[in-house]
Amino acid sequence: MHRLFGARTLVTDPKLYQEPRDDAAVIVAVSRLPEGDRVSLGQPNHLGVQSMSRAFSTFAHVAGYVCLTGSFLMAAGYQSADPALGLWPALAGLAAMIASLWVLDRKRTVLWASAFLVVGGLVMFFVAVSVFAGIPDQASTNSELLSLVKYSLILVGGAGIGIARGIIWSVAGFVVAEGVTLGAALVAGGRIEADVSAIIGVILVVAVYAFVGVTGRYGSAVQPRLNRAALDEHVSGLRNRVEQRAAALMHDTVLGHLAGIATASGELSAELRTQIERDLQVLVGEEWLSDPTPEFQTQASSDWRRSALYSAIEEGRSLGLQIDVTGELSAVNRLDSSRGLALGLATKQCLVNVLKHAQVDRAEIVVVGSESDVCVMVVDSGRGFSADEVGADRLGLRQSVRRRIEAVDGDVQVWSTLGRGTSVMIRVPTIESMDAVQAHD
Amino acid sequence: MTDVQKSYQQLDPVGGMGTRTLTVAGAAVLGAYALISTVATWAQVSQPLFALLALAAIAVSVVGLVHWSNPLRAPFSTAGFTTVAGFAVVAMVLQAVGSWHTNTGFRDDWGGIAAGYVLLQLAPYRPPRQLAGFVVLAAIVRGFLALLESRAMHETTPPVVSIVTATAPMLALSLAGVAAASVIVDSLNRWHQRALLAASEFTDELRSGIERSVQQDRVTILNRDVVPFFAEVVRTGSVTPDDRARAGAIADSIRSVMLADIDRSWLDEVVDRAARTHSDSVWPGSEVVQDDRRLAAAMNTEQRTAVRALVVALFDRGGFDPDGFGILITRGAIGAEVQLTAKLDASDSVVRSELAPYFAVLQVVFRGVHVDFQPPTLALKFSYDQ
Repeated sequence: MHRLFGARTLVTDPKLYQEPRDDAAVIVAVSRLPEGDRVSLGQPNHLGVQSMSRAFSTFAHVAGYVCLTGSFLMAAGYQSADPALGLWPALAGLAAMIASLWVLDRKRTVLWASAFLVVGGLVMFFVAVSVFAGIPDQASTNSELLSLVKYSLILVGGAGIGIARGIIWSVAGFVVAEGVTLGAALVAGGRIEADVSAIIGVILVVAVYAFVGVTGRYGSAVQPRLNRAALDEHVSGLRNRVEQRAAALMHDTVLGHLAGIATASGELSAELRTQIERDLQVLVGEEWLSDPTPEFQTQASSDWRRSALYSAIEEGRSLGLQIDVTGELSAVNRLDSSRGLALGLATKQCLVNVLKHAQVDRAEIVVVGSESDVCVMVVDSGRGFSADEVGADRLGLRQSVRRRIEAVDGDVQVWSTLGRGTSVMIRVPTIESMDAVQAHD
Repeated sequence: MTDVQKSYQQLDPVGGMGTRTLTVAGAAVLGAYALISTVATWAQVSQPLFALLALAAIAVSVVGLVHWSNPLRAPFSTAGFTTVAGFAVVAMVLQAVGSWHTNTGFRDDWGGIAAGYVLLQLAPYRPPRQLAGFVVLAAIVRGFLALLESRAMHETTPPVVSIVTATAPMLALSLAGVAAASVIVDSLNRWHQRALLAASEFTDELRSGIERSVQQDRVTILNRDVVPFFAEVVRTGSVTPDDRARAGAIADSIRSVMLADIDRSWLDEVVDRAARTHSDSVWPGSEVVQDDRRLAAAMNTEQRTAVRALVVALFDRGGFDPDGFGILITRGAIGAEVQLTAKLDASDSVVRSELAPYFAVLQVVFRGVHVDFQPPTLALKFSYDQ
């Protein structure tokens, strides 16, 4: 019996709760988690490495765009200030470099990276010659305008193609940039000065590459554990909800009938006998834990008489209770099938409680609907109760009402006064409100 | 806060920790760069006080960067961001003022590069949109200063050249950092979107299997006691005193198990399951979880995942003493408070390095995380909304 009704129940089919055996299994499983159970705690290692690679590539390309655009604007500024300078070929060359970077940004191949390096080297030569010849302020291998072009050559070529190749490409870009600038200085008579910023730049890029290569993706051993925990949490939550539903159904049926038998004497009443026979057939012969049967499909029905709430009220009446129903009854049609069923079964338990504990044979049900939720209030004028007097072993309100409703995102409030009656308000969200929550998420 | 507004550190706390070393190293390099540049260009300094204040400001920024980027202080706070980025911009302004009228070229100005570098270093820790806003602000300030300074000093240089020279390095670093952070954040969001796309099929498969499994378990047990009893009562059509007694006994048995399970939380299950995986020894299970008010139920999915991963990691770790393990959840002034204690046979540095990724995740999903390890006792405290 210990294994019967609780979360401790052992799973008979090991496939249903098997441990994910490897990272790949976890990745596949976690990738299929529903939105409500998504875990924003990282991503699988191989995707993390890919993201990092793309991020580094993007970093290099954006920096390259800024540097090349900056050098273009500087050249354009000098040209506009002195139209006789003749920097138009240099400007066209810089535009060509930006265009080749645009292509490289979309086609990351060795061919286009090589093309960018070759185009960059040629453009750099023409720009340097033009600058050395026409702009005294910038007539140095260490000029700001030329340095910006150098940065782009150092950064762009090797971005996102791996550690070792990235280092080789960056060094190659530096060598090309400095070699071409030096050659242009010799040809056009520029001042030859060490460009410390370019040297620092290439050292930093190589250092970052080396650091990433040595350390790899941080936490690569931990991420699969987090993913596995997310999967376990999802499966556990799902199973717990099913267990809760099963336990509530058990309470409604088995425990109710056992209580009926325990208090009966002599002949078994025809009513109890019919209920036991019906529930025995259902419990043993059908998949009663599956989602609601068509009988309770309230969503598709505009007639509240096909709702689980109506069935609950009818059952309550068949047990001998006089029930007055008022309010917006059609509001229950705004509930999806699972919430409609939970509302009906919880209401039925409230009615059973009236019969068993309130010592009256009359109850009132009020249905109030809004766009976001449906409230059902079960009111009796019976003996009432105080929280202190309710035994810790009273399961009906806790299991069959409160936990059942909480499992479908609703809530339950109870007001009771000794000698004056009890009111139970059950609130469940409508389809519209759940859609709104999901859209907001 | 939507995923779009989250930082890389928040979306991937473990992966984000990898940038911490680069942040610390970068902060040291930046401090050294500012100091060396100031000394090397001291001849251009006209206002020594402002030059020194600029160094002080960048020192505050760098120290703040190291301080707030510590995974144990995650997520990087808005106050921290404002302080670090704000002081970097202030340093940029003070440095420019310190060499006003005597500056021989914008290239020697370390302030702009330092501001750009600080914003680049902040990229993993703050949402890209917020960073982009601050980049624009810093660029406007730097460009305006360059324009004023160039009019005062470099009359022959076209204004656009001065502005570009002053702002390009800063913009290159900071915009590239923002773009890179956006790529990673987008990648993480796409990963979650893909999970959403495949969700329906998986949920249906899993749910139907679990439903069948749970029902099968219950039917098996019902067939043993309840069904024969009901069948007998229905067959005879009468209830004897023995039947009443037996019905009461079965009901009591079911009721006691149901009551025990009502009070059982997901955390009890996690600890029990972790203990069961080490079945070679008799380890305590959920009895070490003290949660009288059932506050564990209020944790959200991410918080449960983080705690679950940590508990499993502790149990799996060599040197873990199960007798020293316990979890206490109480109601605090601003929410539920968790106190987790464990005994680990390891040095302080080993524990902190091995478990640091888990602590980083806790930092992101809980409030007020406090980690204390006095060998061999590890004591964790954190809180969350009820």
